[in-house]
Amino acid sequence: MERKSPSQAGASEEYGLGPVIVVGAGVSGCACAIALAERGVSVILVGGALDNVGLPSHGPLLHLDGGPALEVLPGRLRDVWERWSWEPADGSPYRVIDRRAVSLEMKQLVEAYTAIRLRQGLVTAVRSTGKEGAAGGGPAVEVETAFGEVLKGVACVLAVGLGFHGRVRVGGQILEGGRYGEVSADALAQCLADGGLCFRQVERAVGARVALPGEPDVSGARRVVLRPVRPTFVTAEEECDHGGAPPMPAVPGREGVDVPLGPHEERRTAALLAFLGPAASSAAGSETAPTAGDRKCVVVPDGLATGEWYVASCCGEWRGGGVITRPAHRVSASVVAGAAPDGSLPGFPGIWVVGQAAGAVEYMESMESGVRAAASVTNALASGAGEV
Amino acid sequence: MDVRGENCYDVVVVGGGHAGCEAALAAARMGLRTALVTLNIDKIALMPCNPAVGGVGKGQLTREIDALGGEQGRNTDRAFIQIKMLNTSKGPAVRALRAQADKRLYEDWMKATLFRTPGLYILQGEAAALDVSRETIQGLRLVDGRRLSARAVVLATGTFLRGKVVVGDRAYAAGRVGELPATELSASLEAAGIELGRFQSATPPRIDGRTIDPSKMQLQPGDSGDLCFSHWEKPRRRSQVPCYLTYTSPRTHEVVARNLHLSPLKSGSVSGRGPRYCPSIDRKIINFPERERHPVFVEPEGGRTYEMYLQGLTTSLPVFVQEEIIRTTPGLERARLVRPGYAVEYDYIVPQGLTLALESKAVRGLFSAGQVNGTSGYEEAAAQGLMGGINAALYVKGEPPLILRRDQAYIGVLIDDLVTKGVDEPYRMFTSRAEYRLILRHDNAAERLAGIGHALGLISEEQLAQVQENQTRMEEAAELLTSLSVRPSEETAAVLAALGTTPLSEAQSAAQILRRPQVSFDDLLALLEPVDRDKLADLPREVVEQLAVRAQYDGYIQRQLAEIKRHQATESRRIPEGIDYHTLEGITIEAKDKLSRLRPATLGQASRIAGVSPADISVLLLHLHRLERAGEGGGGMPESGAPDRPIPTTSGA
Repeated sequence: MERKSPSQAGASEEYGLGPVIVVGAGVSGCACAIALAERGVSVILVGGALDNVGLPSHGPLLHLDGGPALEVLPGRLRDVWERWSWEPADGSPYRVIDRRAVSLEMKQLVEAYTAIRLRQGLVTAVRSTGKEGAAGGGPAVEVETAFGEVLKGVACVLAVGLGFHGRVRVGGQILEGGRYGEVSADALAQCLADGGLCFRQVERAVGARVALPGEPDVSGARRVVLRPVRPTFVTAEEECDHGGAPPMPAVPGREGVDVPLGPHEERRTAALLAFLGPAASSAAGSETAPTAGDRKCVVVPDGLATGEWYVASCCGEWRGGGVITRPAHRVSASVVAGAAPDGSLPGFPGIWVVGQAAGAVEYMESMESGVRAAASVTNALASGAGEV
Repeated sequence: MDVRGENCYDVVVVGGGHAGCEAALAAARMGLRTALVTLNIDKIALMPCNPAVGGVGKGQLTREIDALGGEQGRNTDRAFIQIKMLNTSKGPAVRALRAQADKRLYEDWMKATLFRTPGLYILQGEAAALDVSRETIQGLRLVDGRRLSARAVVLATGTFLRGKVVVGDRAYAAGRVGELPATELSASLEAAGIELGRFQSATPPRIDGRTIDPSKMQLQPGDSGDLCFSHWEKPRRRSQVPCYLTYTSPRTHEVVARNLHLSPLKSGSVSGRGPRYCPSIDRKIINFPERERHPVFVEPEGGRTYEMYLQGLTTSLPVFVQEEIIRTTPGLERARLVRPGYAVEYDYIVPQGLTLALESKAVRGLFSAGQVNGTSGYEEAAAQGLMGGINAALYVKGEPPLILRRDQAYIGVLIDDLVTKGVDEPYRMFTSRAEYRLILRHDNAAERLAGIGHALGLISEEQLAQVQENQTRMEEAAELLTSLSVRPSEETAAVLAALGTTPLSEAQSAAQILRRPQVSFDDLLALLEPVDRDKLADLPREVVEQLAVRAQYDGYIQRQLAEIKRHQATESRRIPEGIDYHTLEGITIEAKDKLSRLRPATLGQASRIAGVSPADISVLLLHLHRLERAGEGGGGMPESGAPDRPIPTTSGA
């Protein structure tokens, strides 16, 4: 019998299908990995830097108007977002999230699935090995990292966000990065383009963050109270419907260890405030307003630990006091053109694309595309192979 | 209200790591309008390597930082998931605290503290260039075009200056894995006349903690007692997460040896010099071929993650080799790799270009601190950050800098070593670097330094009063111990025998009994009459520890104090700024060159320069005597701006 490469060993011993390599451990990649794991598919989830797995990168607004509802997400994933969500008292269809807390729990959740293996690596190439992965039983895709590592899987899901040629435009300058300060996936984009994949350019606006001694001074703004969606939750395990997911395993020696959540915890159940004012300029950005059909300048808290405020890009230049901690910027990137609604790529068997890399804009859209692709991948593997 | 423009600051700190956080907090707490510029606010106070704070030598630094009003100790206390006192069976000089931190909790608490500090502004951006005019710092330009005016700047850029991460023969530009480096600032530093060098450092792989086999490793639990780093907060008991100890096997060494040609150390894809004292497994096997095994500590990265850190397996060998190394280590046979280890190469500022205040000799008002000065370790970084921040603030206020002496603090040893001797590899603190380590203990850090922290405004009135009260209680208790006597009896004989020591032949004072190494303070209490016991109950842990140390080591401590006094006369003797070494007769050419280039401020500093011999120092001393007699100034007279802060505490036991 052929010896398994170290990268392949492990996961497939417990799970029938897989491993599927998910490239990118942001919002869409995590959602896809979790949805795959819940379907019994093993996953290698590859992130460029594992210190901010699952971080919602572009601001604390979770828009729920028109897009998919939270109910499309696997139970545990939905819980993570709801635990760190505040909803406006006026019933507008958006939520304000604590991005850092969501990211902390997204990583915890991803790690809890034994079917998901986290791996740190900057992916530079994805290759189809020519074999019909699922049917032939062998690995169908190879993923190579900047450190020369080759991971083999039966399928690959690209979830790199705005990483393909990601550029941050700020103050007239153009800097590398699909996310501020992070290395872009330019080599991977080149590799895919060489293979004939088509891209289109997108650009999105990210609002500024400000630190204020008190409340923001937004002229003509209306104050809206934000209430925690889950005011009384205790722990992840106690409260929710896990949709039949396996129980969280314990680390040897780690039983009964209760680690506090830190500075987030203090204000977790507190009410917050949002400020809604008229939009300054319709040309300011592509960011949609929280209320359907009505563009409004919205200023909301961005994170309990830091106490920054997020100023949506349509507010125009900030004049509400305090100091700008993170300047507003625009992120431009290539996104894959021509992906099917389920994320599959006609002409690229074994490769799917999800999230912003597939053209999604909002977090819910990104996560839903990840979940949808997970179903599609699972079906393809199951119909192709029966079992591997 | 501050009438200055939004982009005008007193102090701008570049970098949000362990040095940058301390520098920014210190400057802001000293009342200055301070900005901290970081490449990514989401990664402030990240622990990119070991998920731990403290250890022998380093733990003392953290205690000193805390005693001066810094943040590292307090922040660690909020975030630790294990804490222990090291070397409890050895002498007090090498006793130190070490804690495993929940990395993300550590970041979050530090971030919260930074954002809640009045007068401190956190700015996301990349510093592109210094704004220098007439050899004095004026501010900074950021890559995005913003200009920040600053009266002082503290550089705390860690490994980000022209950073490059390396595994095997692969590399890409990054300050840490996945994070963009600072590409522009180095050129600006060089243009300002600041000498840069190139170093490398590396981090070991992380594995999935569910895939280890603890039955093949030694359990390394935390201490059950209430320990904490900070002097200022009460220890809170909490559940602790264990570490594990295992060792590499001969097969591990075979794997490394077989693949050494793939190591960046050998292939030349890393050009900078790496740390001798935190060597990679590749380096250990090259340097110590006779060693059959090397220890590997398996440490949790947090309480909410399964990731574990493999201390001892630092490597930048190709990933498939890393996996083999892990699999051949007992207990890790089935361990799943999560993050491959890697090396990082970066520019550092040659620290001999700095004054003892950590200020650049080339640019006034420009300070640097942390890994960018050629050190390694969070504690070394934070210690410099604190001092850089304090001195930047003092500079802005027009006050003389704070310079800690080698007999006063490990921080003094650290900075003096860096500035005087320079670095040929990333510098790490050890107790052996200090001449007076019996004086520089972790238990008396507050006594040594809290008064200084208070004078700076970093330690409150109440905190200082608490330190002074502890001192009083210790003196009283020490006196009481001398006056109380214990008579020989069957009971005491039994207690002493149980402790493995001899019975009393005649009445002895409690202090004498405490001198016995077998007898702890608690044991001693058991020998006392209840009424006396009550007088000594409820002493703070630090006081108890100091009493025991004093009882056992008083002779040695007194000897070191006397030695310090003797040395201080020459040590602190100032060398006038304008001295022309080339005119001095009887000094070697090498010493003349080095002294002229490095321009030491004191005779003590001059004596520690490599290439300057004791004979050279004698000649120099004679010359200083002559200058003094001739009344040309200098000599023992402090000059303006020279380090001459009053030291409000005694540097004693």
